[in-house]
Parts: sequence; C-alpha cells; structure tokens
Amino acid sequence: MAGHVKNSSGQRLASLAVLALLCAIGAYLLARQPQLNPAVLVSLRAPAPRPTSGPTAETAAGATSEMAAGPNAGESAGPAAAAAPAAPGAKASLAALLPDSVQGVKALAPAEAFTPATLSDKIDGKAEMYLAAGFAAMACRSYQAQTSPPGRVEVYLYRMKSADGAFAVFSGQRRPGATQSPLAQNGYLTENALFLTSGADYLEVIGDRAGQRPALEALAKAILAGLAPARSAVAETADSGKPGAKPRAADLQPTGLQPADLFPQAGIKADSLRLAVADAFGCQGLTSVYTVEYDSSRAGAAALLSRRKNAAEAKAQLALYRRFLIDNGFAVQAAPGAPAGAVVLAMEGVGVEVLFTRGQWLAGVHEAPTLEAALKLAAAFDAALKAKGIAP
Amino acid sequence: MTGPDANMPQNNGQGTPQNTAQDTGHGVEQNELSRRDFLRRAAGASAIALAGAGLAAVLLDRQGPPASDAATSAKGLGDFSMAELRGKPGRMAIVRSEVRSRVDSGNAQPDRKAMLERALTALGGLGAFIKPGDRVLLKVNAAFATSPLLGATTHPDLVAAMAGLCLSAGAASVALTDNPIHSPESCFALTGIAEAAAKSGARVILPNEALFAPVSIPPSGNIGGRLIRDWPALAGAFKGVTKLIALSPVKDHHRAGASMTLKNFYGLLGGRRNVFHQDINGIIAELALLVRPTLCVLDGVSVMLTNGPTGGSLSDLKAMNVLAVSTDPVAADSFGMELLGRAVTEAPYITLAQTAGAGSADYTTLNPQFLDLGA
Repeated sequence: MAGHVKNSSGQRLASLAVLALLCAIGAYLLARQPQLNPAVLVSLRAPAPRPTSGPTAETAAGATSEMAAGPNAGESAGPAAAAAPAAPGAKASLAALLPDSVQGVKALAPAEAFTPATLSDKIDGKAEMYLAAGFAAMACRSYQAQTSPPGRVEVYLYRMKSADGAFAVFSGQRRPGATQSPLAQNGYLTENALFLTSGADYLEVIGDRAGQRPALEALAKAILAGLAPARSAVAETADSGKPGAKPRAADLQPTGLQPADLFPQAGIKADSLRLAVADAFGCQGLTSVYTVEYDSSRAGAAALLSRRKNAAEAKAQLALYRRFLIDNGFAVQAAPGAPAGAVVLAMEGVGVEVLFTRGQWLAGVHEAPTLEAALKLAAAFDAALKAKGIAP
Repeated sequence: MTGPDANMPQNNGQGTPQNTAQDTGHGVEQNELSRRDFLRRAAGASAIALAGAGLAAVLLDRQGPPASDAATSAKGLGDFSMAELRGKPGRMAIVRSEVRSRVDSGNAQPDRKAMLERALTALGGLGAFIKPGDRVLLKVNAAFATSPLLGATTHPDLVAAMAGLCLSAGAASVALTDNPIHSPESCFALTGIAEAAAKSGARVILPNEALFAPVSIPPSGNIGGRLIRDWPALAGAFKGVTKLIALSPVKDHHRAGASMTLKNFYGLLGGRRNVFHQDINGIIAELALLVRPTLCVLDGVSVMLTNGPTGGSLSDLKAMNVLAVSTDPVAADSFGMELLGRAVTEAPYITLAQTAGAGSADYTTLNPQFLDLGA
C-alpha cells in the first residue's frame, strides 16, 4: 500500500465538525420522524371518487333546443389560447384585469389573488373541482353598484390551464333555465349573477340581490375587453415564438371534429352539454368526457363521448369504465341489437350503460332507464358517428 | 497540502508504485499505511457501520406513530351535551312555516325567530338547555364573505334570535365564532352576522393565532386518532364556555355531498386544513367527536341544492321554510339530507359518525316533533 499525507490539525477539526453536523442531523431526523402528522399522508393519497358525482348529476330543464357551444365556441375560441397554460405571473395579471370602476360600479377593495395552494381558503370545498379541471390562478374583487339601495357585486376570474378546463367548470355549474348572455356563447344570466367563459378563463359576476344586470354586464364587458389583448399576446407568442407576430387564421378556427357536434342532436336538452375533465362519473382515471342529456323522447337518457389519442387508448378507457361499473354493482348483459363491439351493462334501479369505441373515440349511453331506450339511443349515436365518417 | 495526487499511489511506468510525495521536496510528514493498519481501520469502519445499522434496527418503530398523543394535546374541544341525555336518544323538533313576515330586498322569508321559539318550546323551552349563568358559544357558519341572501352562511336573523333567547334565559354571556381562514372580518361583516351579534348583545370572537391550540381525537370505533392529531383548533374560543349551540345552513357541498351541522365544525380547525379534503368523510366523522354540542339548529328555510358550498346564484337555492332543532348533530344532518333530497348514504360521514357513537344517522329514531306555524 502506498503512504499518505498525515492530516493536519485543521483538517482533523474540519472533519470532526462535519461529523458532528451529520450526527446532529441524524439525531434531529430520529426525533422528528415519529411526529409526522397523518394529515400529510392523507394529503398525498389520491382523492377517492365520489360514487354519485358526475357531470350529468344535474338535470337541465327546458325544451329541446340546439346544443350549447363547446369550449372552443364563440369569440373565445382561439386554439392557441385554449392550449396556453397560465403564464408566469398570471396571478398578478389576472388581478390587474379587474377594473377599479366601470359605469355605475366602483371597487370597494383591492383585488385579491389566489393560487392552487390557497384557493380553498377562499372557496373551501369547491376548490377541488377547479383544481381537478386544471386551475392556474384566481383573482376576485368586491364592487358596489350605485343602485338604490346600493348593491354589492363580487367578481371571480378563474384562469384555467386550457379552454377545456374553463368549459368544464362552467358546464359543471351551469344553472338550468338561465338566460343566454349576449356577451359570450358560453355565458348565461341568472336573476342575480352572470357566468361565462372566455378562452381559458371562467368569469363569475355575482350580485347580492336580483335586478343588477346592468352592473353585472358592465363589469363583465370591461373584464372581457382586458382579456382579449392578453389572449392575443399569448396567441402571437405561441404562433411565432416571439411577441408581435400575427397569428395564423387557421389557428383561430377549431380544428377537426368537435365532440359537441357528434351526439345525436334530436332530443338534446338545452344547455345540458357537460365536460368532465377528470374522474368522470366518479371513475378515477376516466378523463375528458363530454355528456349530454336527452328529453323524454329518449327516455331521459344521457350520452357520453371522449376523444382519445388513439384507438388503443379509447379501448383502455372503455375497459377502465367497464371495470368501475362492475365494481359498483353493474353486470354485463347480452344485448342483441347493440352497436358492433359494444358492451352493455345494467344495474337494477340505476340504469343501463352502453359503451363502444370507434377509432380514437369512446362513445356510449349513460344511465338509460331501460335497455330498450339505451339500445335505441346507442344505435342513433353509432349512426351519427358514422355519418361524420367515424366508423369501426 | 501537496498536489491533488500527493496521497495517491503513483506508477513509475514500470508497474511499481512510488511515493511521489517524497519527490515534491515540500517536507510534508508522511506515513506508510501498512496492510495491518488498513485492515484494522477497515474493520473499525465496518464495526461503526454495523453498530449504526443495529441501532437503527433497534430503534425502528414498526408500528408507526401512536393513534393519538393525549400527552401533548387536548382530547377534543369538549362535551357540551346535556348530561341527562348522554347514552339516550336525542331530542328533536322540526318546524315548518309559510309565514312571510320578513322581506330581504324583495325575497320574503319566514320569521326564523318565531320558528326557533316554536321548536324550543316543543323541547321544553330553551331554559331546559341554557341555565342562568351559562356562558354560551354559538358556532356559526361564516365561511364566505357573501350576502346572507345567497344562503352560503348562517342567516343573521337566526344568530340574533338565538343570542337574544340565550340572554333572555339568563346566560351570563353569548359569544359566536368561526374560522373562515380568509379575511374573517369581511366574512362576519358581509354575512350580516357581526351586525346581528352587535344588536343582540353577543360577542364575536374572531380567530387569531393565540386562540389555536393542538387537539387530538381519541379513537372511537373506527373513527378518531387518525386525522385530527395534534392539530390546531380554535380552543381559545371555548375558554369558560359551558354550552355550545351550532347554527348551520343546509347546503350542497361539492366535496362532502352536503354541508350541515357536522361540516360546520370544520370551521373550528386551523392550519392548512385543506389537506383534509382528500379524506373529507373521515375528517367530518372525526369532527363529530371533536366537540359535542348542547343544541344544533339546522336552518332549512332556504336550502342550497346545487353548486355548494359557495353557491352564488339565487337559483341554487330552494325555499323549504323548515327549521330543525336537535340535541343530536348526526340526526340533524340526517334530516338535512332529506331536505336536500338525498339519501343519507350520499354523505358517508353521517353513518361513520353514528358508528363512532356521535349520534343517530336516522333522525326518525328520535321521534321528532313535527310542527307547523301555518300560513
């Protein structure tokens, strides 16, 4: 063996200091490890699905009408904006979009901003719905409407990571029987509030009483006016990689088939289109599922549709949901007359589900009250898909 | 120190290692490491490593942390239930009213005070629960800074009515509290609760850091000792309190299915309590053990059927014009599920709370008195 240089006293001291530090860290970890709060462990677990939740839980009232627009509808439809995640500093820029005053309305306090980590501080248990749909940031502000007596208006502007996310939270909370808003295709008014989407943003303007529509709309217009330039800037950046370049016209149009157009149109209830971004019907892992509800002409059944990356993924999602249904008491049942390759499941007192894939699409009938109604709607759905060029 | 390779074996190009440090001429003291020394040191290092591993094995806690640690925190916030009712079925009265004696900005609502008095009379009067000298705490739901008309918080009329009745019954003091997390002052002000308290002589206890202390829930059945363990709770608001009354609206809740009496106690927790949303049924069931109220008032005058717990649209609400008073918070919530048009199983925490012995998940077992104030 070769010799080595004898350590100096300085080196010895340094090594002892390092050793002492390591010992101290070890002792600290030893002391701390049994004190881990179990809430931390709970928070690390994936949330358990709610057995009865789902985008079709609410029933929409009203007569048959044209289907509502999807997430890419209307003036807020730019796919560049739709795909754009919240930019750094989104929190600050969102707050800046809430004006100090508009005609007949003035702010009562500075805007507040919330992140995914703090959202539940403001909206408690509803935060999970936004987080599951891709929440990025939220800004809110209180206003006074100069009415007699003075009214109070709260504005909540949510920035999601995609237009799909905004549509999911919009459609998931849609109030049946509301009045269509002239400000946005995905927008409606109730007697005291206004709700709409614009690209990846979801806006709530809530009055503390009925009859404040002018104030609600004035605020919404001002905020939408601020959102448009911001979205354009994002689109331009996404288009060219640098600000200032003009967006391509093609990028401002929805591309390909839109799920909302593929459902059988006859009998769809007004405003019943929903999008569940995650855990559709309470099934963990079942994602990006559109649903519509039908009126009595189709026995009140619902239909579901989800576009996947490819056929294999569509089949995997079908298998996942099939397993979920079986685990929750459904049984596979033979059903002559079902669409080719379809699986039919039924549960007494709950309903009938029909699931099938067509290429990259997962389609099906949800909670039909009878097998006959389920098969009838499934056949119509299969035909509608075929008419759009989507075949097995 | 010599160069970086001074203490490394070097090769002279003929396969023979040399001590190059000798050639440096810096006069550094050097030692040969004999084979014996090397083996001795290697053995020593191995012994230390083995001893460390052995110590870790000895200290390894295969059971994990204990279910609760009562030595470091209080066991809940207290049992304020009536001693004579413990272990017996609770008592309950349900009042329906069509009387429209109050108008809030165009929205007529029944007189909550009249409904409350009627229910309490049926239960023997508030004097059966509140004695002269009692120090009463009202647990309200002031979670959001919204108008009372939106039904997301305890209605100020109910707060004023209950505070006034308690003081009339001889209570030495009436206070009310909640921990809304974000901007408590705004929440109490905008909900109208602060004003109602001021008018009725009640004191608002706003949450602050000094009021929180760690609490733990001892296990009961399959509940307790798992989530609320050394967790900060609003213990300071309970100092000197002899009676607790929960005043809760009936609401849909996106995560829990429903927010009523037991979920109202969520507002007694501090810290980053949103982590509990991942096990919402488990935490609400533990809340049933955190504190036992004297009385629970469930306000179903205007029920939030959808988009809870925040709501936002008047169309989320439905006028049910019902108010329930119960000594059993679990039974009260099971009745609330009926108001929401849902099965008790849709809020699993109710059954969990019953399993833990916190009350009955079937309110009909209390033989409630159904009363009607009429039109």
